[in-house]
Amino acid sequence: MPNKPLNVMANARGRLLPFSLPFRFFLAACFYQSLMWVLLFLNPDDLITYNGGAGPILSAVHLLTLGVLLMTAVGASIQLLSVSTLRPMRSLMACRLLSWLLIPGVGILVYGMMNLSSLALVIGGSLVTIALLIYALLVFDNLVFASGMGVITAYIWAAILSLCMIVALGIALIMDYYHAFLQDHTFTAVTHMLLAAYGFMGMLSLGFSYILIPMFALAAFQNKKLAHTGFILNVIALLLLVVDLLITKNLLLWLAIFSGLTGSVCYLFSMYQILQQRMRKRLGFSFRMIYLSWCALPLSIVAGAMMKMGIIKPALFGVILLLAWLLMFLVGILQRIAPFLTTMHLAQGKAGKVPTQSELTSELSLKICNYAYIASLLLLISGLCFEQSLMIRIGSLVGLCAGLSLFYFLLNIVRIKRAHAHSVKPVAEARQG
Amino acid sequence: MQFEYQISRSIHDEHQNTITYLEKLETELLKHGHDKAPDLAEGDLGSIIWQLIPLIEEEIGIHFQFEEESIFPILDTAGDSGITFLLTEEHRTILPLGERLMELARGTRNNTLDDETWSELRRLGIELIERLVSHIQKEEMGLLPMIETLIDEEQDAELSNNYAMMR
Repeated sequence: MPNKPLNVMANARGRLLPFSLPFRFFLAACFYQSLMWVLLFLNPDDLITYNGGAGPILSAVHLLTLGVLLMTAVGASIQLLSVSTLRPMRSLMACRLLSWLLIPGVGILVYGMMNLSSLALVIGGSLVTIALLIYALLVFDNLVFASGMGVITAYIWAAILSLCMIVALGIALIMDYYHAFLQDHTFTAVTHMLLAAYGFMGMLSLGFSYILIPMFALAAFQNKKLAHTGFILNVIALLLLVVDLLITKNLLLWLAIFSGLTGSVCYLFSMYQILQQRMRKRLGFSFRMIYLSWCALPLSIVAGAMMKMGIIKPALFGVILLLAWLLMFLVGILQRIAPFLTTMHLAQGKAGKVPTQSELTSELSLKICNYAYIASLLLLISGLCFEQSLMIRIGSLVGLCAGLSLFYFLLNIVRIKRAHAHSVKPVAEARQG
Repeated sequence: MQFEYQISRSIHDEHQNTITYLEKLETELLKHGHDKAPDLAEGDLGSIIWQLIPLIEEEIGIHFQFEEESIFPILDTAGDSGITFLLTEEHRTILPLGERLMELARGTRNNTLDDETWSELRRLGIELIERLVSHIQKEEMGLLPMIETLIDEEQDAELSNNYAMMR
């Protein structure tokens, strides 16, 4: 019997969260992204010499990981999960609470990291921790009875388990500033960062790729064996990495790198196979960001190995991992799902012509965002390679342009959605009249 | 995509043909600016515009009618009226758009096209492509997988037969 195709649209409208819920996370992510670029602009020398520790670079890293990557992932996943598992989120109130805690919590926590303010660290850390626990519970509740999603569910479980470890390590790191109980603060911090990037964000982006890429490209996801092999290799790599960082110190690292590289090749080949047999050939400008981010995934693992050998700086590895792979992927995906979700919302119970996705898309801001984003990456990488703080400053300014363009892109969607919602009648009323 | 039932495969094949055509139409429409009508005798544009007529009459008209009369009631009975509501609303937007495009395409019979007509044809053509691709996306990801879970072999044979008769 052929593989049953994944049904991600059945009664999807019934499982749509209020429009404002995912969008508040997306808009907050744009705001925090802009702040991150401002911090990098103000502290280029700190970035070149960064080797861990509190201060502006740690704040910028957390603005990126918590403020941008996590924020976007939470906003997108609470909506996409309920659509793909065919189960609505159990509690809308919990989703709202999650946003009320996470959005300000990140700001307070980052302020604490910047100024080493214990009060801000405790308050911000607590808000973010509670928010992430609520998120983990929401996802757990939604996934526990989900069936037929195979490798997608497996990736999301791995992401949630990583998230629990990240939170635990994060709390330990904050407490260590005051009680100095960790044997090795640096290795714990590196584990926390790598788990956040490869474990939570990475697993989530790999898992959701198997829903989103076939959906946007109109293609089937058929080679499940390859996808499962990729998943197993990626999880093994992550486990080896964590064990190595916390216990064996360098003994298993090269195995982890090899396993991670093979796993990422399996994933990329899976994506290639999906795209090869797609029905829609033109995938639009945002897919170029996704393609580039895919190139950065194995590159980030190679960069990690090079950093370990002392060939490149930790900051360069961080830029390739967080900005070139994860952020670029999220930006590309966000540019597709924001208009898509909006058209679904606009069609809810309203008569009349729903704007098309391209009518919701400000092409100019999308182009500025993507070109500026690529340029800022190149400038940052060059600035780090040649230790040129001016290049990093210019790269940060160009990155800020990209962030603000994305902000405008989303605000424009909100504006059109609001205007349309006021201009059309509910279906029942329209049909009577 | 791999589908078990004949009716899902037929609808899927039509989607594939429609998208192949729409991509050709998109390529041709985007080759020319919106304000100056191109010479239809040159290149493939004329024949591709002409192919809009059977696409809208047969692929879209009959396809939509069959779905609304034979497929959507199965989903409604199974309690999933959300997707049928959404798809029916989209049919109501796409069909008038297609009908207007068909009128414009018929006007190009002598390979003549004024700037104003071209501008409208290009604008509506691009709109049709986007709406239809998005509609097919929803049917491929939602409707067809649902049909596969809701019907049996007997119903499949009956639906396939009815569809063949309509065509």
